[in-house]
Amino acid sequence: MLVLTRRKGESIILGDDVEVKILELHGSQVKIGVQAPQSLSVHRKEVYLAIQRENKAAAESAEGKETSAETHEPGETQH
Amino acid sequence: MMKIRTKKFGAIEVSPDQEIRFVQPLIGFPGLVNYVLVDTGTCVKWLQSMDDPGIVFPVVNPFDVKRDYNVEIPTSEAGLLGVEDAADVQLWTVTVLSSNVDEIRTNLRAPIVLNRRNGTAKQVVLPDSNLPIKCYFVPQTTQSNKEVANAGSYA
Repeated sequence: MLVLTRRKGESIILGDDVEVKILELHGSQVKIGVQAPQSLSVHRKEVYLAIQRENKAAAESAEGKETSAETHEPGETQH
Repeated sequence: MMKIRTKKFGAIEVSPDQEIRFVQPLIGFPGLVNYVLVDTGTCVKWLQSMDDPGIVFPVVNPFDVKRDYNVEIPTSEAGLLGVEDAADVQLWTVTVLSSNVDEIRTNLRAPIVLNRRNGTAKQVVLPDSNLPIKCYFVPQTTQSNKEVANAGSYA
């Protein structure tokens, strides 16, 4: 992991087209501005991880390990 | 017509106009961008990967779950999907099924936005942090519900 020190108003550049700028500092909080191409998703990590967990739980639930009454289908077994 | 293999439904036929191409893979499922929406006649539909026979997501129409579901799709996301007419947009939300009804839930924060006109889609993380990632179908019996019930008895 690269660790570097920046001051308010300073930036780092990732690759050729992503800029991460330190906008404001308030105690332990930092306001960050991200400029990136539209095709690049930027997420808060905890939100990203929560959505990833839900997607995985949904895919697992579709396998029929956990199947609700309304979605019974022939050949589906519950273990 | 193209025949694809799936674990859940066996071999199914997909016509080109049924194919859905994700401009970005679903979060946590890299590399999978080609899907088809399988309708088995229930309110739960199935977003089946055409790249991996074993991957399928239960999805629902979020407006069936929450009538007042209000979403504003960021312009940049609509642009990525080539949306020209809002009437072409369909929303589906990723749903966790369970034999325990209390566990059944859908993700209203990150709906799958589908442009039906060109078959492109994306799981869009909406900026509104009030939208639940876990919206339970059955309202959770929590302390607050009990409190409401108790409060009612005083009225």
